[in-house]
Order: sequence, then structure tokens, then C-alpha cells
Amino acid sequence: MRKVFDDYRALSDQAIQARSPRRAAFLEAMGKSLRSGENRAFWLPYVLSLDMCMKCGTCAEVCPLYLSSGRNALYHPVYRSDMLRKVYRRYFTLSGKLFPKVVGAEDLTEEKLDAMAENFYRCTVCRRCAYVCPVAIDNGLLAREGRKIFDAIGIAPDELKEKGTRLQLEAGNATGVKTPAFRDMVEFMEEDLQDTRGYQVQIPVDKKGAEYLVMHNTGDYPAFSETVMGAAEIFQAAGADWTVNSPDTGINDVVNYGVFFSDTEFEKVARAQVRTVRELGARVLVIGECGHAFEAMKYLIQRLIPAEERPFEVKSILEVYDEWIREGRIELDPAKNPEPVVYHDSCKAGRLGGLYEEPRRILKSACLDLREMTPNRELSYCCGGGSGFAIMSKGDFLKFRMETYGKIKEEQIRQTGAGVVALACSNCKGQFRDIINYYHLPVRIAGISELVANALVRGRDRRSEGITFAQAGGGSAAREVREDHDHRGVVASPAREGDPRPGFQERA
Amino acid sequence: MSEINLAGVAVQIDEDGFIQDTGKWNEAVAKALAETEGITGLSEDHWKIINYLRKYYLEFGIAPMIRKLCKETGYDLKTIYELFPSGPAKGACKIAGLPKPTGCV
Repeated sequence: MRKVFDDYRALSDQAIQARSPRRAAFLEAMGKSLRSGENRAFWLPYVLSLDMCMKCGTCAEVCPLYLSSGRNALYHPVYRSDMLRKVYRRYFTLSGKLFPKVVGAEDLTEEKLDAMAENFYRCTVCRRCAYVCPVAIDNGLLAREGRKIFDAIGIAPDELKEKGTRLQLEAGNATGVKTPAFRDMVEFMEEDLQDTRGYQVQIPVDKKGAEYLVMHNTGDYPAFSETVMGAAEIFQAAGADWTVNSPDTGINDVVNYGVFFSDTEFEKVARAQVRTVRELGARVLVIGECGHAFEAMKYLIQRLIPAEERPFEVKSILEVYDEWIREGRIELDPAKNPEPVVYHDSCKAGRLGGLYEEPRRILKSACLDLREMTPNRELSYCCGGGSGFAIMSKGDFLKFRMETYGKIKEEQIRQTGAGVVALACSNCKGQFRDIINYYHLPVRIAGISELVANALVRGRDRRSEGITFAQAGGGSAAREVREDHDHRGVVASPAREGDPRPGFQERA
Repeated sequence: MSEINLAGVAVQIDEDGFIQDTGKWNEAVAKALAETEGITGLSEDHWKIINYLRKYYLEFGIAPMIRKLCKETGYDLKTIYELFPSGPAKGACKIAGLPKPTGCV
């Protein structure tokens, strides 16, 4: 493909509308984005981020893309944000209109538009930079606002829009699974669980009024079915009243790619999801192993859909497992997962969702040897699959993901010596699947649900058998069991703790 | 979207090289698509996977689960990657004339 920015292309000439003039439409859409009434969700952090940067460069020193590319100036977070800032100053500020050169304002050209559109799809919006910025500028948010402007003039990756949000709204899921195929998948998983585990696991579908509606990323059914099967085993073991849902009920896919590029698409998908949950009458919507869906339903939705329209609780599947393990509602034997396991913090579950300790507590209970890559938690490096990149592979985009973000993760994982990378997000799973293949890493990926299900202690082997955990929050019996675990050193298994703060050699 | 000639058949392909009209698929087209993936010569192993993918797609309108593909054909994922280096979704599905899988797969 034609070179417009760097050696890669995320958007084809067709997607980018290379042959038609877009400048006037872009400026009009950008004008709208700068009016609070027309950009109600993110207007304030957006304009503050446009106005405030003092060019200290702290962001670049933590940006996985900038560092892994050998400090390529094109990938400096401020260079990307400045592409938008120069247009903002030139056309939307008085000083820029009068004295453009003095304030760093620049005319917008069609060529600059091409480069800008591409560069907004180099940042995964991991927001590691926002975590360290001394004046709280969010370059990730600016990249996303830039994508929103492009989407408003009809420019977006087809993986995220035409075959993403639009397909999801039409078919119920972005994977395009119709109900007969969905039923076939569920049936296969039940049979497979019977074959591999030797006992019956039922996966209830479309049950009305269940306490928990477990909505996975629908892509997990065909691609990462061990996660879906693991969740089924765990919910059954906990004696939960639960269900999954088919496309017959509306939306059965927890993803919302609007998070990556458009508030308009975000709101349409979120409203359709809310409607589905309400019609099924679930008390708790459980977000499967999907980072951005948790950010979307737990936090972003608060800016767009009033609370009274969402009369149900939203929980990550990680929060549910963590509670059940601590209550003793499910019992795990970490000896069943003896291999060294390392947890990778999904940016959306971690930095944007606050789930750091839940996955670690779960994995310590489920695995004998939990290791940490360094840095981790708040300063974890994005895997490079974020913001939809894991499903974008046009041209050389896979190579871009592997040679930049992927290279850092490959090295981090090798250093831990782990044989399993535990992941709580489908985008991460897709990206790590590619990293393992690309770098021939001798490791495998596993969903959290898969590892927990593998460690389940069932039936007669259960020490807590006979104790009822019907009461949410557990009673004294639950506490006794927990103490019993601690006494035997079962729950508190040995784990290597890495220092969550720097100390990791930043790459030159 | 562009039109290319595969084994004497004019077919529309998308930007990822997947054919758009699955009805235009035949074994000769499959061989030509395999060459675009750098696979010369389709073995019996390749065909077993390709034929299963097509059969499932024609019945359900979507590619089968990876786990089901492995179980029903008897090949583990590692072998499938050896046979189709771009993997089951981007490699094998393309050669079998399926549309590009969508969503987080």
C-alpha cells in the first residue's frame, strides 16, 4: 500500500477516502468536537489536553511504542497529539488565526489528514502516558478524539465499524454467529466437557430471570472456547443461578468497539446491550474476559446512559471468582496447575478498570507458581492488541504489532521463565497468540477461567462439602473454611512478587 | 475490494485477500488461494481441514470453533499452524473460500 506516514497502513486507501477532498468536512467535525454540547462525554479532558501540554516528554519515556521502536520521533506521543493541536490552534483559536507561526499552528492539508488518520491508529490508547503526565494530559484520549473526528466523516477501520459495531447491532454479535451456530457451539462445549472432565456441565442459554447473565466476548466461543467452558464449570460448581444468551435475545456479545473510535457507536451498542440485559431480567451482568467491555459497562457508560436506565449490577468475571474463592463458595487446589504462570495486566482491566489484585488473588489460589513480569500493574506495558489492534492485520499491520509492542512483551515473558501466560482479555489473547507464533515462544496462553476451572475441587474431594453458601457474602462457615485453607497453606500459595515500580530496564 | 484471476476464475477479493463470493470457490481456486498464502501443493492433511471448514460453513454460515475443528479433524492446533502458517482463521479459512472471520477471534 501507498506510504502515507510510516512503513505500515492500518487503513486502506479506500477506507481513508484517499481520492476525495476531506479537509473541509474534517474541520467541520472537529469544530463540533470542540463544542461541549456536542461532545458531552469527553469535552473537558479533551480541550484541557489540547491546551495544556508543556512538552516535557515524560510521556514518551513510558510509551511502549516510542521505546520499542528505538525512539522513533514519529511515534512520540506529543508528536501525535500535536498533529491535532496544530489544526486546533490554526482554525479554532484567535492567536492561531492571527499569528499561526508564533503559536505553532499549521494549515491542514489532505496529505496531513492521511498521516494523521494512520498515526491515530498506532497508539493502543493504553494510557500508560496519562498515568505519568505531571499535568494529567491524556494523549490516549486525544488519539481517540482524533479517531472520533475521522469516524464522523466516515473514516474508520472496517474491522471495528462495518464488521464490528454495525455487524454487532445487526446480528447480535461482532463475530456474526447466528443462533443455530451458537446452539451448536454450546452443545459441542457440553459434550467436550463431558469427554475431557468426565462429568456433566450444563450451559443454560437464554434463561429469564437468572441471577447472573454471563456475557462473553462472542469471539471467545469459536477462538478461546476454553475460557467459556471454564466459566461454565465454575458457575456450576458455585451452584449459581446463571445463563448465557443467544442472539435471539438481542445482543449476546459483550464487546463494544465504539470504545475504540466513536461515542455514537458506543452509545448504540451499549443501549442495545442494556436492553438485552433488562429483557432477560438478570440481577448481575457478568462481563466475561474482555478488558474494554469492563471499562465500557462499568465506567464509560456512566457518562452516556443514566443509572436509572440500567437497573442491574455490573461485575467483571474476575470480581465474581475472587469473591467466590474468598467466601469458600468454590474450592481450588493449586497443585492442579503446577506450571509457572505469569499474569499480564490488560490495560483496560487494570489501568482503566482498577482490577489488579483480583486476578492475582485468583491465580494464587489456582496456580502453584504465580510469577510477575516487571513492570506490572499500573505500569504494565500494553501487549499491542489494545484498542482493536489484535483484530487488525491489513498490509503489514501484524508486523507492526509484533515488532513494537509485541517485542517488549516477548522479552518480558522470556525473563519470567513462565510456561503459561494468564490473560483476562480477548484482545490480549489474540495478540499473545500472534506473539507466541511470531517469536516461537515456548509458552501457551490461558484464560483465567480455564486455570480456575482446572483447579476446581469437586464433589467428595471438597473439604467444605455439606456447607451451604447460598448466602451471598458467606457466613461464619465460609470464614471457617477460609481459615482452614490458610492454615493448610492451600489458598496462600507461594508466589514471586515483582516490584510494581520501575526497575525494569527501559529500552533504548 | 479488487478483482483477480484465480485459476481462470475472475473473483472479487477483499483487502485481506478473502474471496467475496464463496459460490465461486472450487478446488482449483483453493490451490490458487493457497499460493497467495505461500503454500505450494495442498496435501491430504490440508484438504481434510479445508473440506471440514467448508462443510461447517455451508451448514452454519460461520467458521467452526477452533476446538471443534481440532477434535473433528484430529489435528492439534500446532499441526494446523504448520499446515497453514497464518493460522486457522486467516490462513485455512481463506483457502477454504470462507469470508474473513470478524469480531475478536
